[in-house]
Amino acid sequence: MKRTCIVLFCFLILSASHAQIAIKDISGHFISFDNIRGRYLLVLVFNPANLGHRLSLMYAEVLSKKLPSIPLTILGISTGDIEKTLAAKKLCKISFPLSLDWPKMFIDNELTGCCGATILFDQDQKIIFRDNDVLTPDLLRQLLLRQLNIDERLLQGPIIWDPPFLKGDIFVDFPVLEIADGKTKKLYNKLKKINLFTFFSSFSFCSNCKHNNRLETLDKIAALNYHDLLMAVFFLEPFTAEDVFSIKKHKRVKFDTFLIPNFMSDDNIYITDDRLKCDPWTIVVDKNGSVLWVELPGISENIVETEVIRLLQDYLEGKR
Amino acid sequence: MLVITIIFIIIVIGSRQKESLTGKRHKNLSDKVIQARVFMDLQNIGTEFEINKTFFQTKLFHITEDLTTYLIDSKRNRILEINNLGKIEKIIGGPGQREGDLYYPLAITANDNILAIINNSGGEIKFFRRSGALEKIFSKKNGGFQPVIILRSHNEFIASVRNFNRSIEEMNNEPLFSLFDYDFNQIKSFGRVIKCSSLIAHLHFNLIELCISDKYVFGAFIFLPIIFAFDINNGNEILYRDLSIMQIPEIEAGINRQKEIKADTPEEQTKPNEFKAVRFNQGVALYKGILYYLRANHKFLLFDQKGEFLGRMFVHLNNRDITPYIDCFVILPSGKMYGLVSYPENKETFIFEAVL
Repeated sequence: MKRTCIVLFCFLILSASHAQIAIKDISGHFISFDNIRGRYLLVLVFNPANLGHRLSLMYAEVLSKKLPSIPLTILGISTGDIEKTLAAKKLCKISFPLSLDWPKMFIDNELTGCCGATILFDQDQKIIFRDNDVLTPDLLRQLLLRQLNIDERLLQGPIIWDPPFLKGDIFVDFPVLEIADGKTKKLYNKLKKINLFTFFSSFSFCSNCKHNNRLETLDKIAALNYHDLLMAVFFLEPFTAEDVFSIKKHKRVKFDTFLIPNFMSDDNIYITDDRLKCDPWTIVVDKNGSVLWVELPGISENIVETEVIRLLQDYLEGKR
Repeated sequence: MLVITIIFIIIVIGSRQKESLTGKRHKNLSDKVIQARVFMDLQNIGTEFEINKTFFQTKLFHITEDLTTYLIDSKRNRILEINNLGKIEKIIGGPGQREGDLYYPLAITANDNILAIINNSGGEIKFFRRSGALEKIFSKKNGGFQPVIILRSHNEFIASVRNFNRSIEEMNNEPLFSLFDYDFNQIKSFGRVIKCSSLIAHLHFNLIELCISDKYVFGAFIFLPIIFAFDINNGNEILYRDLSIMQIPEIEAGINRQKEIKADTPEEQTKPNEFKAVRFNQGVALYKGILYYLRANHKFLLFDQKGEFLGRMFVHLNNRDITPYIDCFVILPSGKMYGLVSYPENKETFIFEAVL
């Protein structure tokens, strides 16, 4: 039923005159399409339970902040219930309107909405792009830059990922949800003499992807059996406990696994090029939370492994 | 098409490490080695560029007789035109669905005037003038173009089309590929598809590679060890050879691998959402009556026009056999082969040139 409604909604805004159309967002406010005439409109039809969709929503939020002068309105249409939609809104820190509400009029067979959808309207509210899927962050960025004629060089902010913590910083004692027991804890209570933390901002299951490569690197380090070493992996929101549990199960993650609030800056989230960012990101912290080593953008998996092992050896074998 | 591609978990297993060659029955045929040089180092072309190698994309680049290179920059949904000095002359497309945009381009080819791109995950073919202007768009409602296209002349092209809204029985009677004019009229059809039991099997086991001579179209199935040829003028089949019975070790290795992984067959699919197969072919080309069949992850197998096995060919670069790493290749009338290579250890990507 809900899918049908999405189709109806999509068709309505695609084919009919936009005049008189208003939908209610989840806060109960009406959004009139008359009011956004002259602006580009990006509609994301999403499933709040889908991690990929949530990552794209989070990205759309960051993107809209990076493009304040561009006449772009973003609207999210959720295929889930209000509870899940509100949870997704919070996890993704979304400020643009989300709606569960759509008029019932016509059916457009080309937009089923079953797997989500991405629809971009130009300033005359003519559709210029549609797909039966929520675009990945990278594709979303590419699409908007091209279709809205945005020169990326004019955007403010760094183009290279900026490590949230540097060597010598004190790592913030975030409240973390331990996946094994489902309890929220303070990280500092678990610290050992030395701590190897790896943070995942996204995750791909393919065997040759960097996420998997990093888990293999961590396995190699774990096989060295250092005492007084805590190895832990963290999944940043908008991951949910269910997402992390699934990854832990399928990838047989042996390390302590936590869900952690997303502490990355908008500028960091904005960067989609793997070569310019760290996802996953590995750091080494001592028992006081002082950062001893951080992974920098562009370094290879081999260097991560070599540098971390050297540091652990120095630290745990008494050279420091 | 895109959705289908994403939904299905594709497991394509053609690992060179696990395929062991059996016997040396063709030992009497001397292996040919050709020496290559780096024609274009794609690390240094002045822009970000990334090839997305999927199981069904083998026409990721094309090089014309004037040595202009066209490369699909998969990640950015665009085509790079690079001149013979390695300088980017033009960028065609970018993500979108308007006329000059590209979205999931799958395959590319070009001639003196036209650049043809299978776009939108096979939903359409876009023809651009080499000057960059869009010439025509052909789209197929409820159907899709397989990622293979040949520009036969200035007003004809060869493509393989599937109709997804048909029943399996109807799909089983579709032609393997067809000759079209530039108004998308089907002038002639060639052969019949491999009969399959499911849509997913159809979409994979009927993937083909094609090449052309003045009179004939030669081709190979990607996931089956079969080569074929048709007379362009009358559509008659002049060659259809199942390589599995020819006792060629490189083919037998693939067949053994099929058994080892319990690969799917056109008739039987183990799991509805998975496709498991061994890739046999990575491209074909014809030069001076010899069919160059790139056995995926192995070497070139050479056949005459009757399908008789002639021998093997390797491409060496600085004493290294780079043949297993060739993603796609082109042979120009000058007798030079150009191929796109990515080294597995560092993903270094380049185009080589070698004289046949």
